[in-house]
Amino acid sequence: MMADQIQFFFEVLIGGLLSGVMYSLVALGFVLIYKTSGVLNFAQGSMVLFAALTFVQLREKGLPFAVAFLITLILMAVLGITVERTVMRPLLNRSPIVLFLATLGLSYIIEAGAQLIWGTQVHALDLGISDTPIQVGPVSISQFDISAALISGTLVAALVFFFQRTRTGLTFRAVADDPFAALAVGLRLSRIWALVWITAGLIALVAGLLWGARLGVQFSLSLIVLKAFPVLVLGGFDSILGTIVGGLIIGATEKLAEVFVGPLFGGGIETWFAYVVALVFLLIRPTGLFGQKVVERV
Amino acid sequence: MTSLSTVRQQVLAGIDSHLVRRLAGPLLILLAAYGIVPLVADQYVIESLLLPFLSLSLAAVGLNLLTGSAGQLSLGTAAFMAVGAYGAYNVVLRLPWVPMLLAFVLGGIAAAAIGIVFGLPSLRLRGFYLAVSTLAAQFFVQWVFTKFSWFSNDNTSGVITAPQLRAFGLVFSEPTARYLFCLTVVMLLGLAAERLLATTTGKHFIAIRDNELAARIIGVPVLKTKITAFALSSFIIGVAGALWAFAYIRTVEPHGFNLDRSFQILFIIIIGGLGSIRGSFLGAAFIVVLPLVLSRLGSAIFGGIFDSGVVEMCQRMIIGVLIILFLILEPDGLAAVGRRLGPTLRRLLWRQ
Amino acid sequence: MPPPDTTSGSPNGHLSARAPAALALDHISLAFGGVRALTDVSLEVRTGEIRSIIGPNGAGKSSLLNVISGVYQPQSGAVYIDGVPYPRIDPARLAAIGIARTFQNLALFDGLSVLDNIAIARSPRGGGDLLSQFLALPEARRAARKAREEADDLVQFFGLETYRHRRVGSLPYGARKRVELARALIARPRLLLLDEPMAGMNHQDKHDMTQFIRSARDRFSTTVILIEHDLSVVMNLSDRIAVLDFGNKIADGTPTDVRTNDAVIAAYLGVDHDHPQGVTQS
Repeated sequence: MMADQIQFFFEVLIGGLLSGVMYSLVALGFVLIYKTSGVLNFAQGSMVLFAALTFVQLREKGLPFAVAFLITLILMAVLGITVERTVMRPLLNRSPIVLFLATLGLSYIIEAGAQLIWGTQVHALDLGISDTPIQVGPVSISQFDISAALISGTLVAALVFFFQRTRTGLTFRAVADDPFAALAVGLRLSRIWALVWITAGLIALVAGLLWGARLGVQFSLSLIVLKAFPVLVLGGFDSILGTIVGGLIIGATEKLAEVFVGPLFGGGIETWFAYVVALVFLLIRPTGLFGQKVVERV
Repeated sequence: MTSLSTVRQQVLAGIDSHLVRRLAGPLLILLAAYGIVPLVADQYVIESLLLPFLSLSLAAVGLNLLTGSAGQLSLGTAAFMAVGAYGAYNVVLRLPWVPMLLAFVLGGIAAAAIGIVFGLPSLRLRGFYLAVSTLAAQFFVQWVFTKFSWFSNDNTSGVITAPQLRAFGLVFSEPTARYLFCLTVVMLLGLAAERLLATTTGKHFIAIRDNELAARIIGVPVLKTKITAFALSSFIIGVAGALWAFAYIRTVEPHGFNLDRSFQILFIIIIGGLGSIRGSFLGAAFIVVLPLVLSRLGSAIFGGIFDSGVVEMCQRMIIGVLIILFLILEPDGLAAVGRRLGPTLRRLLWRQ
Repeated sequence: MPPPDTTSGSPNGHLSARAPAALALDHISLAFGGVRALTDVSLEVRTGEIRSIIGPNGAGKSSLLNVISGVYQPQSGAVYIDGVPYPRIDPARLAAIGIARTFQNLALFDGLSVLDNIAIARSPRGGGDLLSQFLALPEARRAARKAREEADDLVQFFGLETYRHRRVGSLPYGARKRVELARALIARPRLLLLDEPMAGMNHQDKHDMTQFIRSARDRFSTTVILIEHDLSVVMNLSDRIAVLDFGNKIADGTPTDVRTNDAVIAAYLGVDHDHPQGVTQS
């Protein structure tokens, strides 16, 4: 009896950690843009929806996986560049709140646009990954969750490597630290920002495929953005490492609370529980797990 | 003696023209709102345009104090509306001897209390961290009213049906009567908000928005001012929620106060003008009328080819585009447009 | 511990023995992470003087000002104001202590009028509670009128009459700098900290600002601490000058002393940073 419960606990915990990795992936899209241009891009969720809808429609038209992926990626890049040119650039030097509100408007456009073009029906998305549980010791784990976590993890690792090790990545960081200095030494900001938006598009695509395969490709996919916020708060808006750890913590506590605490209240606590965890944590540590200590420049 | 009376006349004339110029607009609007609208507006106009317009205007006034003036971004406006609505409902239900107007005030106070709780993090958190805290309020409040049927008099899905509006021994059940009731409440609170912005505290709001560190250093009580902003803003939003429930839709479900509603009110203050009380009304009018105009326009041009889903998606896209355009081209919103058009209009009027 | 006297051998040394210095910094050290911004800096400011702090970019001038105004907390050392030690200065209490400051990159309230920007700093915690403000009860009305009148005086003093009711955000740069100075002065501070008041100004504006600072000191009998890049302005305006380089104080004295100091010349010419320490002017 006791052993059963422990086993169940671990199944829930591992399930939570695995979906936490997928939260991290979504949150990473935010961090990338926030780090380099100080914008909290609310439209990241609608980009996930747009990417998933586009991909699934192309697949349903009979295109092979790779071709559909490539075309969607190109579309995401075009979208990213367009956003950078038409929305972000005219708002340069405006307050962070204004930039955020603009991305809120943007999310309405992308979300409604995606559904206008591709329709509002729910589409099933099959990535060819089996969802039968596998036994690891005494614990059974969803095979899909493992694969999704592996794919997310690989992408996250690749991006971390890109940021920390490559020349382009380093210029990204220079821009993040001080856009004006970067401008002064001749880094071309607009090109870097365009690149950042394209990368955010790639992340949205992968996240859209994984979450779409799990939940079905539909409108509610864009609500994934709401899952990413607590992760961002926990990890700090500007820390890649923070999003990974934050995602794991949020994923695990959310699943555990849903299973073990939720029934006490009649369920449904997953809509807000992660937020409360993040908030309580914030009150103890206002800059998140790994967020930089803000030194006010005066 | 003669010279004294000339002086007096001149002074009076000065006051006159000054007052007339300043008060003419507002007086005309009041005259129209109380005298003409009830005569000409039919039930449809009142129930699907004017009542939502008034409730949303008031909610926008509340949000504008917090976000527009004090610079604290809130994504949980609908939650505070819900607290006001359910609060007033429960006071009326459980304390039948309390006059309904007082119940509205208590609903507003309940919203203010919740506003303070979720605003407390603003003492330590800034910007987006705070916005996330208000999102927590949004989801938590919605969940509470859905899950705990006590708040909805044991309705399993949290739906409440508001009793008839009563005040001063009168029953306001006809659309016109509800409109006049709403108008009066909204007008009084709108004027109060305008007055608030002219006080020292109102100026502290703006100081904190424009430069929090400088405000702190010159001695502005930053924490107290922020909490005041949260409390007053949530109070007004709470009363707006009560109006929404009692005067407008009357049968309310928690889902009616969802995140989309919060965004809608945020859009109203962007389009109307951040920090402008007048703008809150202009923005609300715009947001209420826009869908109507768009669907009429759509069916006039394209006939009935498109289903309602397509029309709705188009509306969302247009709203998104408008938000971005306003932010880029007219950050002070319709209020600024109005300020620029004002003198032109006046000149035209005087000439005639 | 008595406030330190860092002006050993100065001709006015006997003065500071009688009256405590308006401000004394005692062996202040400040670091961010591993980066040392200030190393063991001591400084004394006499009541009523215009005291400048100069030094090349990154020398720690702004850090010093931020320590005095409580924005940064030093790792060691103490601050004395009129002889009273302040181990920790809370920025929110700064105005109450009697310190006002301006900012390098202007920190005005762009959405408020010139008059409001100045009046708001008079006594932000006075003027009654919200209700008496809202109802314009006598106490609140009196406070508001007083603030407006004093702000009006300053508007005239700084020649800002034409802008009185304009939003500050729409003013030319030089005018905004003056508004910020007026806002700092309305609280009648004992100590006025000016962070690069001439930055980004043309010649005429600089000339005017120099006059304003000097006459503000005389009229409001405040003590001024000034950070400024333009050396000719500093030499012209200051009673005494301290020179920082790489977070160390390398010289301290009258404009004439500082001008001829070898360590200062070296620091400004960017040569030989290895041993300027200890070359302290007295």
